[in-house]
Amino acid sequence: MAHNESHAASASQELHHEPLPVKVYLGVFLGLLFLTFVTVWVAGFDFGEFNMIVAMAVAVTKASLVVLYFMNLKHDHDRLNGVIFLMGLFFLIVFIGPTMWDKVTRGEVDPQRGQAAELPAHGAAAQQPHPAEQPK
Amino acid sequence: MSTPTAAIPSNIKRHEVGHHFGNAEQEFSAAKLGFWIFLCTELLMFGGLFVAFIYYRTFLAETFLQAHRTLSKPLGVTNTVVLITSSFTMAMAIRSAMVNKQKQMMAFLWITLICATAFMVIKLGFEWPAKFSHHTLPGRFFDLHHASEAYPFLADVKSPAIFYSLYFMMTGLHGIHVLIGMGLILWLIIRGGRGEFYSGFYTPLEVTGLYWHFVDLVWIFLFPLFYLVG
Repeated sequence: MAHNESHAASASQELHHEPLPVKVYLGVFLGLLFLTFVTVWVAGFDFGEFNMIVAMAVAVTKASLVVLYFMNLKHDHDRLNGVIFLMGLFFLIVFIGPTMWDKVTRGEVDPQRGQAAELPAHGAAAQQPHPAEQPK
Repeated sequence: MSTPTAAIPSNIKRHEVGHHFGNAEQEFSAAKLGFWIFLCTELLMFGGLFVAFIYYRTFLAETFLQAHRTLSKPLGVTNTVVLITSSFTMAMAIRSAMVNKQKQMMAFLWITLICATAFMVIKLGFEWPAKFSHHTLPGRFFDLHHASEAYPFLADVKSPAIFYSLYFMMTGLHGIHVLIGMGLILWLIIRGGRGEFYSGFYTPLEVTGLYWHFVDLVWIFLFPLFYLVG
């Protein structure tokens, strides 16, 4: 570790970090390009309902590579940064989860509105709206 | 393949820790922690839009499937590659500063800025003008008469305007982030040119890097949702 002893600044004034090897960044870069190719290639096939799941699986893998290596959460000395990020993810899941839960079960608790949630076609005459939705 | 840290060049402006910090490590950690908390607020802001996308998609699966065909897949792929490349060069710029290769750092920063510019040129110069000319626009600006001339299948699906509202809001907000990122990278180039970044101090690089990778992260999800699956 090169440190200029004659410099007035004490060791505590400067950082002394060991960077990750170049091959890690290069590997992640090539991995991301490869996964981009994979996701585009796979989109050419029709798996029906699973199209979204396959695309999201690849996206989550790419995102993990970026977060762990480019954003350095894997080797970060401050583990708290990772905890903060996981908390953000947790809140995002709380956000998405119950929203979709509501979407899926709305018809059971309110059959009328569960059906009325269908939106009218563009340009077509709007269907009779649910009474509760009239004062808009 | 660990590159040995070169000696700190003589033209470097040595860093002095802010008086409110105990040492360099504390200063660095505090900046990063603050930025990660900011990134969480960003995550939830984009998260809200992603929730809107998923929610509407469950009602309008056919609309989203048909409308996504009007987006240019080649341009989407190009922009993905451009953004991933810029994320890589950003990471390499930080690494170069850490091993005191200032010229290399400046080159990587310039490449990052050029990639960011390329992304915005493709977005604003090629993709969005096509949307404007076909009137496939958000909300009440959507014009089915014009849109169905180019894309007849849009006439057969419900509320395609909602897809374009989400498309413009989400890629627009992402685009604003890219523009802000370009400003930050330019700021790094100016400060780097003054010799302010080296192994002993690279906090602004590190924090801007986190921001830039986050912008990449958002695009990693936007790309398959809009361009591939719909």
